[in-house]
Amino acid sequence: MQVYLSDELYDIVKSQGLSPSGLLQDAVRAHCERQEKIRSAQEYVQEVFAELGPPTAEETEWAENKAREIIESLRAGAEAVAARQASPSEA
Amino acid sequence: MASPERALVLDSGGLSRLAESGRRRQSADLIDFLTQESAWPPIVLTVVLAESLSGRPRTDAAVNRLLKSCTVVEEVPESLARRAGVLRALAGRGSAVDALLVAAAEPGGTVLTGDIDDLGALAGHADHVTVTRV
Repeated sequence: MQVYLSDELYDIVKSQGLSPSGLLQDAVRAHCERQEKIRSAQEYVQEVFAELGPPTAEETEWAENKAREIIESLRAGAEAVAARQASPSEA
Repeated sequence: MASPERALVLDSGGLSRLAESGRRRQSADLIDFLTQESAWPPIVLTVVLAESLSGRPRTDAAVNRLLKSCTVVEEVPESLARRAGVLRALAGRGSAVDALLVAAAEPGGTVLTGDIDDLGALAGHADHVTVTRV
């Protein structure tokens, strides 16, 4: 297997003395574990709906609003951290 | 909605509420939405299991089923514990477990809970951490 690294990434890996093989294995492992959890979540959702029936309009409204609230809070957190990293003197 | 990049953390109250028998369908719908938006799986620290599980199969089954879709983190690094201690001292309230959860959500993450009270106080001293009731 051959893996391509951009010049920029290659320079970072070399300058920091990192192990490309180790990094790749960690990244692939983390990705696969995450995908497995997502599959489990999808199975869980289907099992609940199969057992209890599909959600009511009221339940879906709650879920959609709550999901939006959570996504927005995560996005706001990400933006705040990114802004600080861009202007560390303002932290 | 864009894919979130920050940590989503579940406390025992959040885990219990999502698995609660009378709320399972709307909770599953929420998980479905969060999965579509790449915000699921959440992190569950193993210390949370000590609060959520009882060893009684009937009550534990729903939590265990939900846990299969979560990232259970078995290690509490010293740096996380130290940060939790600082947050707890700053807030002047909250359990060690609550403080660990808020520290795990730093920076910029969200803790899902059943009761915002102490977690909210801890998050007020944390690095852009939000606490949301589910």
